[in-house]
Amino acid sequence: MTFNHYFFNRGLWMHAWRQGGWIGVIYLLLMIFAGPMQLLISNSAYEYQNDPRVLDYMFKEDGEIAILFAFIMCILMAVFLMRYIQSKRAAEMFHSLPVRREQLFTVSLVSGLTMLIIPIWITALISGLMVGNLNHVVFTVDQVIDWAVSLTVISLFIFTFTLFVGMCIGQSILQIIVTVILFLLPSGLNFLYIRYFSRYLYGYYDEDSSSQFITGWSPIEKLLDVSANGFSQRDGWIYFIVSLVLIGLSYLLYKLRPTEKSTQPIVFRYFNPLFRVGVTLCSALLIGLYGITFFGKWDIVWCIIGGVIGYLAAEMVLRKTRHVFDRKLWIGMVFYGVIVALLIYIPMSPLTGYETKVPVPSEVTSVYIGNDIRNDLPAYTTHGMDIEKLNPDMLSSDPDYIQSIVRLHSQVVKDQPDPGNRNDRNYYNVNEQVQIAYVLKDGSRLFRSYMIPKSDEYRSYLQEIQQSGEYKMAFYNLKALGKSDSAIKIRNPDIPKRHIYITQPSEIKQLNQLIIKEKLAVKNPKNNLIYGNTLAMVIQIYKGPYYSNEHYYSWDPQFKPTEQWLKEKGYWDLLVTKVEDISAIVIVPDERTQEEFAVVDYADLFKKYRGTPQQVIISNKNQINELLNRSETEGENADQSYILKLRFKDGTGAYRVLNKESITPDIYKILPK
Amino acid sequence: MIEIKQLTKIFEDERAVEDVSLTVHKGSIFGLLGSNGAGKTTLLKTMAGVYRADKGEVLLEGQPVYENPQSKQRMIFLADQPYFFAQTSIQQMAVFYRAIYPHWDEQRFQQMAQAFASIPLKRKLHRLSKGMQRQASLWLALSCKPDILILDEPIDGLDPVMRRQVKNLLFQEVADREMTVVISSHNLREIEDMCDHVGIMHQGRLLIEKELDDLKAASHKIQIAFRDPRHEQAISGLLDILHKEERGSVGTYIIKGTVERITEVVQTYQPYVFDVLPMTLEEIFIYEMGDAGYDVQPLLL
Amino acid sequence: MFELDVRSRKPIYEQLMDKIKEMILYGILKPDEQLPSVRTLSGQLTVNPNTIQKAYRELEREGYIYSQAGKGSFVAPSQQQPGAAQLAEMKERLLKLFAEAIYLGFTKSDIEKLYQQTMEEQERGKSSD
Repeated sequence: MTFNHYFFNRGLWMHAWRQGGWIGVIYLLLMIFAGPMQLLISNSAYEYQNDPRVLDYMFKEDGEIAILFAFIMCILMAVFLMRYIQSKRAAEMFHSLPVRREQLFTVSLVSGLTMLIIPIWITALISGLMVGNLNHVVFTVDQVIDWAVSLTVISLFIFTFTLFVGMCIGQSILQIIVTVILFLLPSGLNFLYIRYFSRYLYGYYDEDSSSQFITGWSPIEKLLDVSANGFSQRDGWIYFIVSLVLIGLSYLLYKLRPTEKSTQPIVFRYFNPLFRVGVTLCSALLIGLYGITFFGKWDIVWCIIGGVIGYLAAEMVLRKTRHVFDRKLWIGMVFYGVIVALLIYIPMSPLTGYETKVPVPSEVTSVYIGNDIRNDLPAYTTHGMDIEKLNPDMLSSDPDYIQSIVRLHSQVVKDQPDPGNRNDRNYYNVNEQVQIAYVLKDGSRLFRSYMIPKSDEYRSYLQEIQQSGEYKMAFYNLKALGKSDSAIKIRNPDIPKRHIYITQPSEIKQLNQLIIKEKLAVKNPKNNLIYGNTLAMVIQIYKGPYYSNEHYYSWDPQFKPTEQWLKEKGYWDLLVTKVEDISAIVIVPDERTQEEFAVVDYADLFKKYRGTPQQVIISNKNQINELLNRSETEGENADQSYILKLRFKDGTGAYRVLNKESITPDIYKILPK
Repeated sequence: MIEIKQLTKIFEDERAVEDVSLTVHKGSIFGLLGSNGAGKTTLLKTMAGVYRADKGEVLLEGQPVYENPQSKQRMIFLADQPYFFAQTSIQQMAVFYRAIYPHWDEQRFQQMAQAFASIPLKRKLHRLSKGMQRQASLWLALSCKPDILILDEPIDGLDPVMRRQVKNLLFQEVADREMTVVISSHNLREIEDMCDHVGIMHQGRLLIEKELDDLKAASHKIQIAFRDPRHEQAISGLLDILHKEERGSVGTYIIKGTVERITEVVQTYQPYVFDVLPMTLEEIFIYEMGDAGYDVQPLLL
Repeated sequence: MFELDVRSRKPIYEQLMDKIKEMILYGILKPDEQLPSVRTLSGQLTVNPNTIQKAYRELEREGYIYSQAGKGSFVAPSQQQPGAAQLAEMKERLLKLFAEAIYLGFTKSDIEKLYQQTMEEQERGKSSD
């Protein structure tokens, strides 16, 4: 037999094209929708905008659509081209033909890939012709080629993965289900385990680098993020190489695959235990999580129920019948039950040492402590936050600071104090959320999250940390501020349109230094209320081409150097609220109860007291001046405080709070009784 | 010549075919008999290279069959339920087979259209009845000019006219090209007028394998009424009696040997009654197998 | 040409042999006349060609027909020189039959009449075609 006859058997090729051709046609239509159509839509959307849309890669324009289509169509293509192996009669007919299995598989593989890749490149050609012809979307031929190459690799990966699964599975429907589950499995399991870890592991922080790594392996999740992150060349190579390995394995498994296994759920018996463990584990975790979420208790019972259901399902699929109840079933259930129980228990058990692990100070290079790692710690790159990298401005290497954090950490780990019920109203009042991040000498990271009771045992530990300069540097992001050269917007909180920009570099530097000085002087940042007429300083500390990150600094009126500086520079009068701005001030008492706090707002209060003796309107200039000085633009509402509504002459208004402590005898006289 | 050597095929834990050895000579028509689940289909599929043997081997002219296109292009396996691609006509299927089987004979395909006039060339095959689908698959198979044709219960479901026609088509190929035919059935009557060799399978084993004519000549059913009961004793010493049944003074005997030999022996005792009765192939099997210790009656019907 | 009973206890090839022998004996098939090919006969009778092949082979062995490679089978020229074994066998059978006939009361003239009858039938058969 010639090479030609061996690999280019016309009959087989024609059959493959008949099987998969329609999928290829649909793929083409979907790709045109996902590629050029999206560009056209974007083009008309940007028609009335000043700047055209400049793409840095093609996936930017809702690239997920293309990826989603690729998933659906590549899986379908593989399943249809492998029908001949899954359907009993077809399998027997095809394997009685005088062709070797390599040839049958080669035909499926090559024709399937051709039918998937041609649509991509036709679409790329169409997109390529649009380059420069769209007025409001700017993209390049290179980006189009990059898009097509990426989709080619992605299609190759999904298609070969589905083929590989098909070699191990004997039913088309199950082939689809298992393929999708395997694509989702890494992030799915990760998601489930994280729920359990946060419930059972004391101090568990749920988004450390290792889970990021696992999520990265879940192709669906990773690829559906493509418009935000693009498709990197590194990922492309990984998918390509994995595809080649899968192709090799598929050829090998096909040689081993017995023809009579079509319509059997699992072709190779040694996959059966894996299947049982997988289904039982996922079901135990999933149904367990549902039970725990809805009932909040009996965790083990829910997991066992889930495990039993999962095991029964797995067994029914494997035996292809609902009548599985025999002695063998119960033995298997106990056996797999123990394995699955260990798989669930061990990662949460003391064996891992997760709960008690506290680094030795000498091993720590830098440290962060605060209440929100996720928000504070990621570094800013040109594209915005990068959760993989840490922001050095937030980390401290001060040995004393590290020492004191380790001391707190050790104490907490030793005591494992019970923060009480999370659903309790006071949970966040009696506890303090403390998250610690260590970067260790070996480059690894250690993240923990605790709810520490605000009790005497920990107060001294916490104060020592929180009153240190290092803490304040991170808390107010002062390191970055010291380096910042961004313009500073200063805004009057009463009158939004009354603001100025400090743009002179020397002035920016001076004002930044003043802010740093002010904030370092704060005694306890966690418990620092600003009283009086503050000003808001808005600074873009981190900025990139595609995002802006605004930091607010509320000036503490008690810190006089800033006021002095603003007056010197002549900005003061441009900013503050003056008596002349105001036509009148309306005062009402704030007698809301704890329950009403959330549902009754200031406007409701004024409505409620309108026309009653509790409402007082002040228009005396001296009294207005006094009220302006004593009331606060910012600050907590203490009990029995008053709410002020400033009526400006231009018709706008603003609310202020008058706290009990600020009431002078003069003011007391005019307050509603 | 197909040689099957100590073939064993195991499904999960069940031995579907166990230690079967069999030789089918070129140009012969071999009938494989057995009840449902006896292992016939498995044996045929392993012969055709659809299944891989767990033990033993299948050789065609000394060459293995499994995964060997050189051997497989000379044989065609027709399953009990024919398989065609979705939405295809016989003409489209012919295009496929033509590309697959190098010995495809287009002229033969066209000629046979007369024999299979009931199958329209362009009609979708899945719309045809079961019997017509079988005919279609046979049409395609014969057009491939196979040296070996393996048929799994092919005659069931054909009307007598078509049955005769199919038989004739097969006989033509056998006569013209010495095509070898292996054919299975769960009913002896279906194939006894076709085969020259038969084998019976039961529980995965091949119980017996014989040339049909030998089998027919080998034993006889005879009614005798002896003049003297002692004569019976005398002949049982001389002849190989497989089975005996007495009704009054008349006895029915199944005896191995040629009619001539039996007549000669029996006539010496000048019995009152001596008759050679017709014996069906089924009966022959039943007694042959009974001799080997099997109750074969349920296996054949 | 002739009917066969495929379900008969008698093997089909024997039935075939008997028929062909009969046709030769009655002169329906003349010496050196070509017999129908295996293929033709198989088609006409719907009989397994191997069975026909076997019948032809046996007939050839018994000397009724001869075959020529590539041409087919032909009726043997005459039955004048039957083999010695065949003669001996026939002698045996006749002796047995005569013994039986005598036992049943056949006279010499009865047997002579039967002989006469057979000869006449054979003559008639030869002249009829």
